[in-house]
Amino acid sequence: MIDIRVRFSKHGAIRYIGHLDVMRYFQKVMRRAEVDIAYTNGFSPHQVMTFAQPLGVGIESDGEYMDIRMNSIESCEALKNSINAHSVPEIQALSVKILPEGSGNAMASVAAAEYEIGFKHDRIPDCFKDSGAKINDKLKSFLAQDEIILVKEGKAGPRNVDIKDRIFELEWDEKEDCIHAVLDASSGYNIKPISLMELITAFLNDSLYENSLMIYRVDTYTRDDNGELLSMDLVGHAD
Amino acid sequence: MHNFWNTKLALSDDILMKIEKPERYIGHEVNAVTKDPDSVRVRFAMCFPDVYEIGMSHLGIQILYDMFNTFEDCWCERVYAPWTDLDKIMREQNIPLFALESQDPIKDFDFLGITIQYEMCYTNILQVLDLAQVPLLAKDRTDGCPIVIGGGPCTYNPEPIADFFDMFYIGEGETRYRELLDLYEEYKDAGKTRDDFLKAAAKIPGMYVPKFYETTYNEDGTIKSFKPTVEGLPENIIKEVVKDMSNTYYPLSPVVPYIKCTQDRVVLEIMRGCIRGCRFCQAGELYRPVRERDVEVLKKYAVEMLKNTGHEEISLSSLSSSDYSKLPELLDFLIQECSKKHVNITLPSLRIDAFSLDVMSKVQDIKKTSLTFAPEAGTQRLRNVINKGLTVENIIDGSTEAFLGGWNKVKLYFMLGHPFETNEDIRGIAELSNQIAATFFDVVPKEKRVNGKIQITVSTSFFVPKPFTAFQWAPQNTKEQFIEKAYYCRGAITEQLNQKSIKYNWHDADLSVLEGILARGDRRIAPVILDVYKKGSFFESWTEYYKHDRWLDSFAEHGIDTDFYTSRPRNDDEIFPWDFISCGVNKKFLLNEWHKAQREEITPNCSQKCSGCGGAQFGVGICFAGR
Repeated sequence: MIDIRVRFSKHGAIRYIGHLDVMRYFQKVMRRAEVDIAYTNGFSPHQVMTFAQPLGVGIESDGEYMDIRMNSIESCEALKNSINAHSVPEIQALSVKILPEGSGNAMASVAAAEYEIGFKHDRIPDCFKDSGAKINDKLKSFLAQDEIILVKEGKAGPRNVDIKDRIFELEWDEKEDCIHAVLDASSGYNIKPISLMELITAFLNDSLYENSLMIYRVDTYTRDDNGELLSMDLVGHAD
Repeated sequence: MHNFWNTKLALSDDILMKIEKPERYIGHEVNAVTKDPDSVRVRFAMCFPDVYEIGMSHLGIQILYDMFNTFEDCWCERVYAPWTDLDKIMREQNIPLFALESQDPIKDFDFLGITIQYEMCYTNILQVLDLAQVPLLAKDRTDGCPIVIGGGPCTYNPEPIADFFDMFYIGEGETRYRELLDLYEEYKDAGKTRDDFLKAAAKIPGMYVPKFYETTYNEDGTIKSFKPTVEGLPENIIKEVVKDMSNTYYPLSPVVPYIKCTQDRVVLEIMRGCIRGCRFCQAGELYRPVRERDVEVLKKYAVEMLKNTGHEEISLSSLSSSDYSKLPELLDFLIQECSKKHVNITLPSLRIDAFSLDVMSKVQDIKKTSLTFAPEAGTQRLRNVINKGLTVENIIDGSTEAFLGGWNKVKLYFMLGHPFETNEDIRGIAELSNQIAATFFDVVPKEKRVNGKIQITVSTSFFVPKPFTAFQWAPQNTKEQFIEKAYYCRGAITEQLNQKSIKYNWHDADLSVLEGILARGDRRIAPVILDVYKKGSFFESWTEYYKHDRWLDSFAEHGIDTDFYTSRPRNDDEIFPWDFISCGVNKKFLLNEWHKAQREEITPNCSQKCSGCGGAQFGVGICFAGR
């Protein structure tokens, strides 16, 4: 048995496909590719496959992860090529790595996600119609609050979470004309980019226009032994 | 900022982020066919007038999509009925209905093909035309409009929807489309008009162009005559039939949807037609003669289709799979092949016997599945009337064996409202159900009963007489009769000793009445359908969108007595609206079957003896196989 981590992209029209359907999609990719993926036992066996933090509909990404268990592989490169040959251009494996024994599964080990968050050109709220330096000052004062309360809707009803220490990076990238953010994405504390932007605009006595954001997930992170953020891609090794 | 991919989509991001299941409208599925529009001469939009998940599950469209796209000069794309949320937005924003692959407007296509599988989608046809911005009535379409062509089982009586179609293709689509496209290209190149093309197309076998035919009526409202108004057009249109089922088009790489569809699996059509000849069943007559696909071809298809789609399930399709001659061989192969690949096999309803129970126990979890019987009528007398060759012995023997094998759920399907039905027959439904429950308690010792119980689910639908069946002459029951019968059935079940083991469901009576009007309707019905659509009805096969009163009002406004189409007795020599179509089975045979039904006489099935229905005229299939 070999545990494999696949980093993949999600672009174009496929950004409208929901997470559950992406999972079903990859099961079919594996069957089409006829790769030697492991199945669970029992009356209705299914592929051993787990996904990192689900991506919201409408978001593009180059930092999606799925862990699969293989009975055998020829090489990481061959597996990657095989997956890509049986996948649509909008979803492609970017890297395939062998996971060291004992690494946690894709979902459980997620710590953070990195985003680029921009505005559609006709829907920039007034508080962001400013110079890059001034926007960065505003973001700094946002972060300087004693607490930043996000109301998270859970199964047990809404709960207040202080996300002040869960925003790991937040700045305006003048050159790229977007916010660059690294946010907690761990299970139970995931911060959606739109929630963050709602809090920021509210703090600035403003609000977001409807469907005004363009969001791109750059990568997803876990933590290394020293507690530092580490791209999930760097946990495994090639062959 | 990262550059979002520049993908051509007919709907804006704002719309896609707002509506339910945007996946229905974006295309880009695995195995979807894209071509360079400049490299083709014919753009064909293939439509199933219902929501994506239903339409994508239909094998017929998959076959034709595959066929059209093997033609180098043609690009065939898919289109489905937008769900009500998007429908509203498209109307408000004047967005024309588009094809999934190119996202181009349908109104710019050469053809819009619509498959018509059930009567309740008639208003959806109008929704599709309307959203496509194509005139709803064929007579209002001009040279730039796509040719709207209908196909599928409902086109065997196309008259109620004849006003909405430029033409119909009667029969199996695999045979004549090449010829039709060649003609279209020839006429397009020569700069001929729409009418010129339609006149020429009407001479291709199987094609029906309603505008070139005229109906006259007798004083009592029945049909006096039906004739072509253009010289050289046939008076009878004979359905098209695939002669060699093993050597024709089959979609080895069907489109794989992202969202879960009704049929999220590989479908192997093992044969067409049915040997049984049940007198209520339209499909059993329409698809005659029985033609099997070669078992070796099917094995090859199964392997290839599983590989090309990645589906984790495969199922067999036919009207009566137990009658496929090589079924054991095929199932053995599939069970072996599929267990290697972790692929599930879903079995169609097989006749319950030792063989099928053995197969079922291999591929299904017995605890979760139920046995299905479709006796359709409660007594042997009425089963003889409807020519359903299933006896109480068959059912009890099959149940006994199944109960011993561990099954404890049974589903029974019946119809209420068959011709010549009596209360005794309805009571028979309850008694038969009780007898099955009693069999369970007889043959399964107490300690072996799972949860100590047997669960029997009895479902009754209301019988709707259909064209091209022996019962096309039969008066349909009224709504009141239907409901009275359902109550009587329920009452009879509660009187049974084992009533606690029996659960009873019955269908909606309003829908069955309407289905009856549309099924045996004529051209005078079309304005009513149009009216009901204009009042806002579509997606009527969803009960929440079905508004019966709109239909009643519109029939009344048009002065149409609906009993004329449903409960009226018909004379043996009446000309029916669909008589100009020949499905192979001739009217004389059907009339004889109607008379035999009255005498409670059965007719042997095609594998026992040829009864000379007329299907042999196609020169293929079981009619010529050694019996």
